[in-house]
Amino acid sequence: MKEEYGYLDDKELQDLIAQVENGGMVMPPVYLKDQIMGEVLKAASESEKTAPGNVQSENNTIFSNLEKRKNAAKMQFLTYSLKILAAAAMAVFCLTAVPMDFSGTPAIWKGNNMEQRINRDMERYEEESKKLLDEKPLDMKNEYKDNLKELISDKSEELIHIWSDLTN
Amino acid sequence: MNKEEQLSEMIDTYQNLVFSICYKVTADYFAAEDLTQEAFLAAYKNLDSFEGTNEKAWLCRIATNKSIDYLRSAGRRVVPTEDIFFEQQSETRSSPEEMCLEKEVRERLLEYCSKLKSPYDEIAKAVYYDEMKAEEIARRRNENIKTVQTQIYRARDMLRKLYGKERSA
Repeated sequence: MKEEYGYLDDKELQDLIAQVENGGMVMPPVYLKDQIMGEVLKAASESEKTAPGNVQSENNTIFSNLEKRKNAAKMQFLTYSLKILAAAAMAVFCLTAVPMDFSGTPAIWKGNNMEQRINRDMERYEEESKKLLDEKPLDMKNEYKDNLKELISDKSEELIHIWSDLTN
Repeated sequence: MNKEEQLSEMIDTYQNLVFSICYKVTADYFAAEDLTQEAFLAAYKNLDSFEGTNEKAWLCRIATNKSIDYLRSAGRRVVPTEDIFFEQQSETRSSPEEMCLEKEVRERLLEYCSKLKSPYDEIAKAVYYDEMKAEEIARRRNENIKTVQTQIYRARDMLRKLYGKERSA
C-alpha cells in the first residue's frame, strides 16, 4: 500500500508524531474549533431532515439541494422577466397616453414663431393707428386713439391666449 | 457522552498536534487549516467504527493521509516517503538556532499579513498573530461583528493566494 499510494506506515507515522511533538508544534488559528463544530452541527441538522445513515438518503439530500438551486434560479429568471415586461408596458403606455406631436417642428420654435407674429401684429397696428391719427382732427384722434388702444389690447390678448394654448 | 461532545474533546486535545502534522507535511498554513478541519470531520463521521485503542495515532493517520492526498492533487511530483520526507524537512531548517517552528511560522504569517492592503492587514494580524477572536476584534475596532467576520474571510483568502503564489514560485 505504501508504494502504491505513498502513505506512511505505522512506524513512519509514530516517528512523525514524535518529531512534531518534540520539535515544536504550530498553533492553529483561534477560530478553528468553532469552525469545525459549526460544520458538524450543520451536517447533523441536515442529516436530521433526511433518513439517517444510508447512501440513498445522502443522494436524496444532494438531489433535493440541486432541485432547490434550480427552483431558485427559475424564480430569479421569472422575476427579472416580469420586471422587463412591466418596463416595456409602461413605455408603450406613455407613448400612447401622452399626446405627442410628430410633425417635426420643435415646440420651442413654435413659441418663438408665435412671439414674432405677436410683435409684428403689434407693430402693424401701431403704424396704422399713427397714420389714422395723423389724418383725423384732435378730439376724434383722441377718441380714435382710445378705441384703437382697446382694439390692440384685445387682439394682443387673443394672440397671447392662442400662444399659451399651443405651449401648454 | 454524545458524538459532538466527544469530537469537542478530541479537538481540544489534539488540534495542535493534527495541525502541526498537516503543516509539516504541506508547509502551507492555510492548507493545514483546511486539512485539519477535514481530518476532524472525517474522524467525527467514523467515530462509531473506531475501536478506541489509540485515538491519537488514528487521528494522525487520518491527517497525514489527507495531507498526502492534498500534495498529490496539488501536483507535487514527489510523494513523501520515509527517507525523502524527513530529509527534506531537516533541509528547510537553516540552522539549529532556527529550529523553533512556532516562531518561524508566526513571523512568516506576520510578514504576509503586512503585505495585505488596509484594513485586511490589521484584521489578519489580529487573527493570526495576536490570536484574537472575531468578537474581540469587533469590540476593539468598534465595528459590527458580521463586518469583521467578512473581513477575516477575505483576509484569509488573500493570504491563501499569497501562500499559493510563493509555493508555485
